[in-house]
Amino acid sequence: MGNQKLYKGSLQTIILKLLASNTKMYGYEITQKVKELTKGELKITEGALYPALHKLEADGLLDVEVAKVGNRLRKYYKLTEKGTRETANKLEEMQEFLKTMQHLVNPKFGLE
Amino acid sequence: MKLTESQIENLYNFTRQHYVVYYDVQTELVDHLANDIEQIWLEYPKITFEEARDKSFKKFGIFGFMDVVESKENQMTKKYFKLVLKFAKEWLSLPKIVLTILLLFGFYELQHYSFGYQIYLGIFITSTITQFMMLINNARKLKQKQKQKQTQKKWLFEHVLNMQGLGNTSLIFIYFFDFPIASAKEFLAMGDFKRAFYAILITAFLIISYITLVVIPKKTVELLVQTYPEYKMA
Repeated sequence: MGNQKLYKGSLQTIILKLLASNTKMYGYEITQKVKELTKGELKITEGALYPALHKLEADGLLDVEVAKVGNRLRKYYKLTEKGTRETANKLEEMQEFLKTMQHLVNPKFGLE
Repeated sequence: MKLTESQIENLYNFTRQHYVVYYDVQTELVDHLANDIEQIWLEYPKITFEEARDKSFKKFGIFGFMDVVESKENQMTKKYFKLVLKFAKEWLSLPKIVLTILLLFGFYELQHYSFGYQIYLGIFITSTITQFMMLINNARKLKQKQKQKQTQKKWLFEHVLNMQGLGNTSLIFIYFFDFPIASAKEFLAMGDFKRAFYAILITAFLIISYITLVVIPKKTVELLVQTYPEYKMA
């Protein structure tokens, strides 16, 4: 397991990106999907996931939908129009960040 | 293995025991715990429901559900103020803007008279007291509703609409209306800038009071259904 702290600031971007490629998802599904995609490298904790989702919802980036699944109610999150636009911005920022980090930790790379 | 009806009910009780009082927040947590318990059972088929549940709860960390509840409360309070802002914006566009301008002008002119001071204070005190009275009244109504329905379903946004929102608004009023003018005499001696400022302030107070005391309470059910698709299901 890598250093979880390094991933912390990217949680919102990760959630938005996942929702952009999956239309709608529920909380638990997001944690499992991330685990699967990163082969267990990144584990989103429950205590961080829901506050992040609620914040994105408050900012108008996410919308919710509730459905009865089996004997319980399930809350799905999906991107709003604003959310879709914001996802593109955040992903671009992320690319920039990765490039900058690359230059910093691997200076030779930058000089070539 | 899927969770049974009574195990789901057990999870609702479990969230209540851990200080999650609102049904909407409970529902999201119950579904999460249920999914996780089912997952845990795949790995450890022999452990009991209670053991799996506690194992899952541990993943929330030492603060348990507190972070989740807190973030939800912040979200709903934000939503309330966005709503107030949305209704307030209507007062800056036709046709209501005519009334807004008349109010501004009227209050500005009022400052030329010595009784203007009393009227200003009167409006401020009346609207703040009305907010507090409504708050107390709403608290009573919510309690009664709970008793009548014999359910334990509380909705966070219902609470924010009926109480927290009003409380916060009156607190903001009190902070803003830290009326620095001690007497009617001083009130008359204000410069133009201050006059304009107070006219704007009192107009904004009136409009916001109207929104929080009349407009939003009228739309409570509509707003709740919008916020909670499950409001009608439950």
